[in-house]
Amino acid sequence: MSDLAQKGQGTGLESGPGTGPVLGDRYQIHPEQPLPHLDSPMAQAVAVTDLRAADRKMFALVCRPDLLPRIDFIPQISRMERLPLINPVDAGAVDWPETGGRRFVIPFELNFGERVCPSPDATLEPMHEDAVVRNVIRPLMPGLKELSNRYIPHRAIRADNLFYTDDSRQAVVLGECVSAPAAISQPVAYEPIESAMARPSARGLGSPADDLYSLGAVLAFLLTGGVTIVGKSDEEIIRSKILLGSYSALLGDARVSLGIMEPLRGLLCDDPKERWAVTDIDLWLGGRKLSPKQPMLPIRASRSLTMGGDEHWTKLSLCNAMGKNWQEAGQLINSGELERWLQRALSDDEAVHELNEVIESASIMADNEERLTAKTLIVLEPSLPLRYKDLSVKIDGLTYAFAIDFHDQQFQQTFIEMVGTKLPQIYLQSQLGTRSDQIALMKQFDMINFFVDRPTMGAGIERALYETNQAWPCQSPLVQNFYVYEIQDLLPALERTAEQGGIANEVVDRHIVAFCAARIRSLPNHILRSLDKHDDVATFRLGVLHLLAEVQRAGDTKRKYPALFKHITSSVQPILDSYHNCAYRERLAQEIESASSKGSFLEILFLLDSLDARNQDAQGFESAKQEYANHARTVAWLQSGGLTSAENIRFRSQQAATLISATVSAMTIVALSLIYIT
Amino acid sequence: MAEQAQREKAKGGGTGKLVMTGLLMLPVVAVLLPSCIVLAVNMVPTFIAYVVDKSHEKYLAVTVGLLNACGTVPALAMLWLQGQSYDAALDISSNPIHWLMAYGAAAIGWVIYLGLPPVLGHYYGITSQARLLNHRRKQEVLVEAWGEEVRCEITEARNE
Repeated sequence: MSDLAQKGQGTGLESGPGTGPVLGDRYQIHPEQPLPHLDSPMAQAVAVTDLRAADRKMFALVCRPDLLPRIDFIPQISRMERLPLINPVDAGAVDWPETGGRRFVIPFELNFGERVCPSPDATLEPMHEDAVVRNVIRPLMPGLKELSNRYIPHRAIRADNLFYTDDSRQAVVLGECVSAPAAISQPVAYEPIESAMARPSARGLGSPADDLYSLGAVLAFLLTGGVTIVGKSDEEIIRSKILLGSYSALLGDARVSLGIMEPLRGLLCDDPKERWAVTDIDLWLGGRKLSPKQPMLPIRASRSLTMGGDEHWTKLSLCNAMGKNWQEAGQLINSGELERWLQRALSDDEAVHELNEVIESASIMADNEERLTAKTLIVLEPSLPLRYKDLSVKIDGLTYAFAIDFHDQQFQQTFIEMVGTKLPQIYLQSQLGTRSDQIALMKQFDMINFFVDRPTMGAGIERALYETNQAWPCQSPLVQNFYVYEIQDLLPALERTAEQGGIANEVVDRHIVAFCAARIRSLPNHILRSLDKHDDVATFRLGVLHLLAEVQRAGDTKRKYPALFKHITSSVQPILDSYHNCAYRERLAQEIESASSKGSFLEILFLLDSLDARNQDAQGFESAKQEYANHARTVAWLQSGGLTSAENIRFRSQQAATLISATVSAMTIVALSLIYIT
Repeated sequence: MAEQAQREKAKGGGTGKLVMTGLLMLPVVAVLLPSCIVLAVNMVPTFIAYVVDKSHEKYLAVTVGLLNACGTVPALAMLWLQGQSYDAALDISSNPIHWLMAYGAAAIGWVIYLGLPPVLGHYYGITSQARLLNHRRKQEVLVEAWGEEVRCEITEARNE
């Protein structure tokens, strides 16, 4: 857990003095005072008071409950105080009076001026080249260098997320980048082609190279005033980038000097390997002058191919269109038209060879048309996002999209299909090189398959979600409102839900179990097995208790949860009933009542799941059953005349008569002997 | 055929054993003939009981025989005191007092044998009820301690 998150979380549930929730005993949030001009696309800005420095100007971004901020990067970015970045000063979840739940808030110091561009759709007066270099490139360089060195992609570099440092408008700073997943709010104009083609939730973390492309797009926007992109649809911008190259698409007819053209061409290079790095800008600012990079446009075919109603002259353009016209693309492949076009119009023998291999393997593996189309797109343009039906995802953004769009049933279905057919693995294999992160991704996709194929409690698609998104909050309806992204937040959230009467039946559901299994590495498997026994209520509830005890052990063990305990103690009756001895059950119920005041789930668990007690009870019960059966047999024998039958009475009478006769005879003989002897 | 032969062989064996016993007893009878005469006269009820009692264990014969033997002891004692002569034996055997003692004792044996069944029947009736109540009470105690599930063996027990 991050330091800041720890700090925020520790006091997040308590309210401070005055109105509004308080984060970390210091930052009082004022939900009733919105600051719309500071809003981020995915977060609402509100006023904040620093309780230790009342005159400090601050604001906070209130994150959307269905999105996860970049928690991992917040502590790192917050330490970059002297760089041209808007740094968070703290972060954490706080009580949110409007919803009765919790929201994740990120406070910032308000020590900067106006936005460079008031909104994503606005146009500006074109900025002079010198001003761009002096006020934008130079001030931003230290920040870009530091982010690049630490490999922290900003992924929110765009004109409307740049702020002047002050009213003099002589320098700019980068806006925040932590309130939402990376690049989710980036307009397609600011994203490289392959990222722009992916759905926003699936753009992935990206790399510093993506940031530099965005910087190039910002420079183009400032130099042109945004006229080349504002008003155009996303698809138009992408098509334009594919057709003309990013430089021409974003600069349009604007005339720029050779001096500024050099960085623009370098930054807007569509090949990430050829794109300028931070050092190149640094050298350029230091006076190195080279001839501008020439755009590397894709090879043009001798004749076009129609797809989606448009004519396409390049493989890249065709692949983009095929990804959007799935059925038509399938027909194009199956009819052999694509192969002919590649061979005759494009003379791309390598592509033809790979296409034939895909078609051949598809017939062997009995691939359906969707899988064939997806594999064809992979081999034709491996650099483009992975496409499957209506999904278009960057491979490192697939798990992000899985989390962000988890509740979209159609997406979930397509995602499961795509992962189930191992398309991500095929995509990764098609990429050049064997980067370590590719191996990690491969393992992630194998893990998703593993869990999706096992729909038990603690596995299934929910477990896949929390395993592949380590900071994703628990999506259980029981705690969804409380933004539980760390295991220690779970019990307080459940306590709040119990207080509000929100727990109708069971305390845990599939999401909570999967969340716990993913976050508590040492969670014993037998707990998950118990939780899977829905038809055995006692075992299930013991599993619940065991799970809660593990969660409590992982968090604050001294904290008490009276409402939750009340619910738990009222639900342990099936466990008590699993013991046979009535007296022990009563004693156990009393002991649980007294133990619940101590607030330890473990103690209740020990009481209810003592192996010795259970063995003793089982043995005692077996003995009791045998004893009862023996009594029953005797009763049955007596009722059937075991003693009173004529046979028995005759037999016993004969024996008794013989005995009496023998006794009397013996006594008489003795008496007579005495008489005769004396 | 083989069975019949075996049975006849067994029957023959039994007769042989009886003859052998008779031959062995012959010297005793010859020496104690007066006592045997007294015994033969006084032990008639036992003989009758032995004949009447068809059971294998011969409880009636034993019951009657033991008391009958007790009743015969005074007559035998008197015979032996008078020197065990044939005259004394005939004299004692014709004495009704001795008959009364021997046959009276035998009669007591009959009475005991015939009178016990109704008495024991009544006694076992009471005992049976008491034991039923006791077992049922113990069953209830088990049910109170272990719940209704402990009853699950009843059917099996009854089937047994």
